[in-house]
Amino acid sequence: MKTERSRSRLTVAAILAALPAAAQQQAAAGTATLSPVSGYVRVLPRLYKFSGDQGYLQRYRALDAPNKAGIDRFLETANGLGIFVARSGGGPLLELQHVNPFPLNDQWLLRYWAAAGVRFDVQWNDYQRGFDRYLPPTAPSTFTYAKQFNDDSARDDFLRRRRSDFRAVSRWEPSAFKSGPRVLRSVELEFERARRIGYRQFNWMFGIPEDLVVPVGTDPARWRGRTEDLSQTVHRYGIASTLSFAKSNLIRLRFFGEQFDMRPASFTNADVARRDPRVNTQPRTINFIPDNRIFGGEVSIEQKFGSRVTLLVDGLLEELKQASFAPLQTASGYHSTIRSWSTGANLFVDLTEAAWLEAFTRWRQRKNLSQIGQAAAGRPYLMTDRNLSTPFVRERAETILGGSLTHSIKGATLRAGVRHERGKRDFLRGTGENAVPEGLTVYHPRSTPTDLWVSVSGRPKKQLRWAARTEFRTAGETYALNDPERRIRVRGSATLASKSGNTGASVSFGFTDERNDQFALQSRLGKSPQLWDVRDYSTGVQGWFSAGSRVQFQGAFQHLLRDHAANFVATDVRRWRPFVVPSLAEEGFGYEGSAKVLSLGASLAVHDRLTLLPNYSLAIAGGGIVSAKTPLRGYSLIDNDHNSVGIGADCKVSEQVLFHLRYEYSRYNDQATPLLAGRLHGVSFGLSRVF
Amino acid sequence: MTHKFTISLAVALVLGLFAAGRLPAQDYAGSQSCQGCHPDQAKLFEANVHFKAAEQRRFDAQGEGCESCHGPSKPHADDPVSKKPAVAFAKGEEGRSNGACIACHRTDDKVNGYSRSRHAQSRVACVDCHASPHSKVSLLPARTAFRNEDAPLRVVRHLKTPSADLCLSCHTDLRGRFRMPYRHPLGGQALACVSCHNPHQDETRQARQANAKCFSCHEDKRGPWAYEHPPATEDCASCHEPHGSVAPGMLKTAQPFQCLSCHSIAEDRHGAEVGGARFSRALFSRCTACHGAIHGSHEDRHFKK
Repeated sequence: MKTERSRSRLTVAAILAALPAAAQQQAAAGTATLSPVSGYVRVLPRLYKFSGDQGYLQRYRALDAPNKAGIDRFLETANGLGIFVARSGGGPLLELQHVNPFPLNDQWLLRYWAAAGVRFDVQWNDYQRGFDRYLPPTAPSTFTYAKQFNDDSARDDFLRRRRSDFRAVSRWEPSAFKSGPRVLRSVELEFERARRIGYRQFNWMFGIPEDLVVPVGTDPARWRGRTEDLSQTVHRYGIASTLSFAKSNLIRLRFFGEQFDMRPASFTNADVARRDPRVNTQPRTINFIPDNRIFGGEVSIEQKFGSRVTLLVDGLLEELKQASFAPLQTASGYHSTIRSWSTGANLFVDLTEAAWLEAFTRWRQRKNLSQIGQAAAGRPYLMTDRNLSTPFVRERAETILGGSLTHSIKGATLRAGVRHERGKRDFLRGTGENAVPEGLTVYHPRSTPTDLWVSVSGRPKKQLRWAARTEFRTAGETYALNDPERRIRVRGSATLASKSGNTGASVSFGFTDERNDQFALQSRLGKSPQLWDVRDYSTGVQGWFSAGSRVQFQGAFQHLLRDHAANFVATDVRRWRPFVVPSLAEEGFGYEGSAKVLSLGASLAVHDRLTLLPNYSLAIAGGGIVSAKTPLRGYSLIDNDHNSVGIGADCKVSEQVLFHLRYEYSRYNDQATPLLAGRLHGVSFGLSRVF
Repeated sequence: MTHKFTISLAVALVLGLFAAGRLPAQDYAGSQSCQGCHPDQAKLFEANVHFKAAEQRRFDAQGEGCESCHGPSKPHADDPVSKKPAVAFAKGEEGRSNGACIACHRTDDKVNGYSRSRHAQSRVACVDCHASPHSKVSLLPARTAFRNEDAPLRVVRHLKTPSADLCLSCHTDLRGRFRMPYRHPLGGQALACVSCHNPHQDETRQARQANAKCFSCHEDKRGPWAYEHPPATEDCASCHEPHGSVAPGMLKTAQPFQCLSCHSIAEDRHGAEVGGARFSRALFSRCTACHGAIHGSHEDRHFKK
């Protein structure tokens, strides 16, 4: 990884050194003189010190350093490079960009305009993340299986994950600069190769480390290693074209494919079980991703009829084929196919100069064509076990109908619409009574929601902007409990600014009330109602103020609240399965989650060449189960605060050179999970040069 | 109703003009006339990528130079005080100004449907988000806050500010979500609103089901699974709040409540005699501690990993 970082640094330096001096001299004359070569380069290294997992995560997941002892590393973050080369006359010729948003993350973009209407894009994204330093210290008598098995099997290798994406797109517009209709308007070729190597399980940014760690205070024998080897390659390719058979007609075609290759895991839970049977009680439970292929095509047709009517028709067909082979079961392969269809039409009619009608319909289907059954030997079918614990969706189809009316009057736009959906599913296994023993929710095969909405927005003046929207939903049937049978949603916002736009304020408000009480778990011996009752609130205010051209302040506050009431249902299951008794263990089993976020910032030009940028943010997040009876434990609670204060300074050394200095102090306080608490100091300094 | 047109009408008018053929040459003043009164704009326009296109009249656009966007403006040139250009990109004529942009950008599938999108119907103009062709797109790093949000502008996107800031300036109710303890890494160039949302098109035109967008990054959750968890197969938003949440994993509520709000708990293996002595660790932990393959499994019908 150090090599990669050095390579990046060297590349930036080499490109910077190669910049034409003439271009820099021209830039010195100011923006009035337009240079054929323009761009910028920025180097902004960062020093930091942290404690606790949140601090660890928030420092952009720099995972490569033994940096628990203080300010001991020099990292490149937020580096950037952009070069833009123009043709004579201002047209683009070449663009090169590099950004380095996270440590060990290099993103490159090269765009070349070979001629009018001919463009090539090449993108490269390389992201490395180490794991071993990512793991927080384990508690006494516990250990991290990820680390242990890596050390046992490949001590010299370090736990890591690397993502490398390459993408190339070429676009050709043969009739870009010719008036009148030309049938072939554009052709686009796409190719992408995405590679993932390393180890899973893994969360992306700002995740939590528990998946890789034996939790504190839990019997380690209950835990399994989760360090499956990861080696995936995804190839994506496509060809698209735009055709026009008349001035009122536009047709878009696209054919695409994808190949997903996954090599079998080399470290699996079975390996864990072989080393320590106490640990893994289910050695065959491997979560791997078999190879699969996707191919399909889509078409959309836009046709105008006169000047008032436009019709859009589109269609999509996509097929996924999967060949699976479980390495621990001899000859246990199967083939799976999922086919998706979708077709839709939108009709737009200009009723008058100020009224517009839209009607739409869509039909979608997803069908799993996999062969399903049982086999005494081998595994030619998707499943060998009919005693499934989950409903398996064989087919799902939806028909959607709707429309909207827009009416524009002076300074305001009024819109109203309706959307009705009829959804139907076909399950391999029925749901309902027999789902109770396994502790499942009820799952309906039909859903018929209807949504009505009204929105109004206005910009009566340039400085005033407001909008409000309300939605109402009702459904005779819904698929599942969390699919509300009734919902009311209201949102609104308004922004008022001064004539110059330098001072202003905005407010926002949101409220959602949704409920579903039509579900019940039942058996021959009992019945227990279920409940979904959610209220969600959001209020926010923000403002900005300029005292002259040198001083600007801005601030924002938002409060989000979620109040969720449910019924806690327990099923008293005996070995003789049909005799189960669902019972309402607790009514009013609830959850509350809230977040308050405050952020303040300013830009203070204390001198023509010096600007200070102070900022402060506070985020208070809390949540957890609210219960009168159910015993709780800290893990189900969320109680963390995040304070952050920072100051930055930009010093304009010359018209082309800007010097940056930044300092940040963050404090993470977590009452529920002390490991997350900690602090972070960050300092960065560097410069930007424009040429 | 003399000065307000709906967006759709403006688009229809612009496109209708194409069907009618080019307007007579006498309606066009020519760019030379414009430069006489607007020398600064003309100079900046020459440095913009649109200049070349305007010069050569791309696709079905009418006019040349300035009037390829502003429309036939001879009346304005003859009487600049009381007559405006045909398309002035001013407040109240968003439909016409959008139509001027889309006349050229019709072949771009991502942009083509903008006139019919919810944004356009709410009178959001292209130039509300994208910089004017008269402005030389700044190559200076945007000077904003610390914390890696001072991302350089994309050189050819012509956005006024980094895209996340643009979206959140109107969608203020989502600003706080991206300060939550668990959220997608918006900003910092890792991810933008447009990574998931297309501001130029409406969801009614989306042929694919809800999860397709999530699976484009989270391929390992796609399956198909031998043992599938239907909410994960059909709608990730059943459990996740993708903009940000106080709960780990961007769940709507923390575990075990998230699971128990739909599922019952079977006592024989989880032990949950609430209020009595027989409650078990299942209530004290995350369900996914054992049911780790909750998005689907090829081996275990209980999603145990």
